[in-house]
Amino acid sequence: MTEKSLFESYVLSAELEEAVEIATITKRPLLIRGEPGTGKTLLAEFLADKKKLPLYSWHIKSTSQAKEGLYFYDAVARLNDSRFSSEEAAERVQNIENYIRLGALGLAFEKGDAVVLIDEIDKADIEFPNDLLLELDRMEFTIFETNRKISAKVRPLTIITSNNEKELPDAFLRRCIFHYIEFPNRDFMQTIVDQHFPDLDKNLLLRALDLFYHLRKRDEIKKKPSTSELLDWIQILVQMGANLEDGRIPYAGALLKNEEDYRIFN
Amino acid sequence: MFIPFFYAIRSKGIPAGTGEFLNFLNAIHSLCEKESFIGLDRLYRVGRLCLVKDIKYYDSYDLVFLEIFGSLTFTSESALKNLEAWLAKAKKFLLDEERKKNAPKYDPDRLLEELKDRLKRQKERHDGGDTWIGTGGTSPFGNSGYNEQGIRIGGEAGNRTGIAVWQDRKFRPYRSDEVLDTRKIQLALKYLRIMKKEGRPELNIPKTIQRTSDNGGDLELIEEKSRKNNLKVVLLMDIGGSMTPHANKVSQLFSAANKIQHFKEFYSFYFHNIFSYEIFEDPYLRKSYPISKFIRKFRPDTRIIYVGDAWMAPYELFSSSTNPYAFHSTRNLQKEESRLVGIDSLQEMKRRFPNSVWLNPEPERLWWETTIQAIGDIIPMYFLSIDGIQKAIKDLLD
Repeated sequence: MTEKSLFESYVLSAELEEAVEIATITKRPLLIRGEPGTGKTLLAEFLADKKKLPLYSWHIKSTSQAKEGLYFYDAVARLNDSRFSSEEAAERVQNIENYIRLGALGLAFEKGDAVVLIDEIDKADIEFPNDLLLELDRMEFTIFETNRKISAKVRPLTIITSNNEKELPDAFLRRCIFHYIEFPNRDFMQTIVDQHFPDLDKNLLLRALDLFYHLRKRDEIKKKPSTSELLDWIQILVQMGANLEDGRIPYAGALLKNEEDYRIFN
Repeated sequence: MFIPFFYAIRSKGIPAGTGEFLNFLNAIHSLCEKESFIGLDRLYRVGRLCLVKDIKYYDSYDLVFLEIFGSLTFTSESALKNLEAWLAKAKKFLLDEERKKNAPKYDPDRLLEELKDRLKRQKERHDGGDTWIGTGGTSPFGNSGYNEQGIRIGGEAGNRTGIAVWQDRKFRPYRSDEVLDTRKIQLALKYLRIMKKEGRPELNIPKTIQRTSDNGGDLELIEEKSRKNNLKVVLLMDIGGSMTPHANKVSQLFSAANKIQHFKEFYSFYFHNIFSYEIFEDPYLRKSYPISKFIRKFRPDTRIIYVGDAWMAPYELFSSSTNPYAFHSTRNLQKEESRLVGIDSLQEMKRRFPNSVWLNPEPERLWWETTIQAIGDIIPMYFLSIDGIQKAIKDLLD
């Protein structure tokens, strides 16, 4: 079996598909929330692949500024070119346009027909989403340094993910289509695992799911294992040929990431 | 048809605006162009996608949807199938109890007919009766009542096949005005950050480079002070006795608070019902910590969060000797101090630490109780829910 890339074995649930459809109809960004590990980020890669559109991802960090997603003016490089100039650099330095680098949103606006992923928007400062309101609304912005206007002829499909770390501002929410990814139920989970491990032994699969949902049901567990962790764990089980019949949970470290949780089951 | 739906949504406190409503209509419109018919399930999901922007409103949305479109469920074909499956299942749970003898009995076919009839004719809420759909009583329809062969509608059940998602109310745990979980409390407590710039200014290298380049090479040094959270927080918790039913809530609050490391100082102490001269460092009320020491140790800008039901026998609050153990104590000092009255101690604490709030797990409708009122008069009281905590924190920071 050849190694499948993650998004190729991604299973799109009917509800999520509908959410994407509504977002396309209303031309609004789709805001997705849900537990970590439910495939929020993969959705964008999957959609880009399915619709054969280029994907521009913007992974938000706690220090991210709204402007970074639009464009970046590389003043340092320009200064360097002007100070230590070769002939080529001296020419380059004349045109400020040479030092403007578009960010993920900027590139997507320019391209138009594309998928943009703004990943984990809640990681950044509380005000961050507000700084993007106008740009997301009009799908255009102006580069301050050159006065060039970048505007999208076709609105790119925008996927925004959030982990519920922070409350997002109302004004921002109002402009989005919102979908909450529920944790997959057993049947759907079985489909997902089947996609990833088509050759997996049925008994092992059922037993693994039993254990997994049992773990998730226990309230004392601090960090509940997610889909991606289940997949990792099954991967380990398959590689190591472990057996699940003796009531213990082998390689529990793949599922339980909290020290206390780990101790309960070992 | 959708306009009452929209206003019902707004009346439940879901912040949906005109723009979202237009989005919703737009979406419905284009879906209708593609296919001639939109199922109720679909309508439910499309409405939720467009109009509801936070999971904490999902439950309210479910309720509104049930209210507006709920009765349609039973007439749609798939729902009827569900209902029949449901009835077949209910037959297995027939009970034999005398008190239910008088309840109307129908065979499953008749029952279904009757139910349809009710759905058509029933216009309002009926509880405790023997005919209409409602709660209590012996009507065959509804919940929390008694009828051998009835149908439970809504409410809790063990073997439901699930007639519709919006009746399950599975998003209930996400309501912010109702239920607490550790993570949400943590989020709420995070508002307790007061970032202040303090300390010696330090050279900010990235900003210096950026500014210098912007200047076309003229050096400009940017110095900044680092930001630090300067907040000192003390959590004082009532424990045992009437607080036992709330133990779970309180322990969640506590574990959430404990996980937060961004305070400059964070301490927690315990008491039972009310304190007069001492509080305790441990939840078993063994390690005593005199209030006088407390007042000396913490600076007046310390924020104090009391957690307790404030519900006790009035003498506990308004007269001395609240602690039976202190009463028997051989140490004179303790005897002396045990004459302190709970309410006075509280007043003293408030005078010393003006920034304090009281979180009460009892529902607000019970706050007319003497002791709750008395305490609420001294220290602003908030209900122990996410909303309450947020309000309390706002109050604390002012």
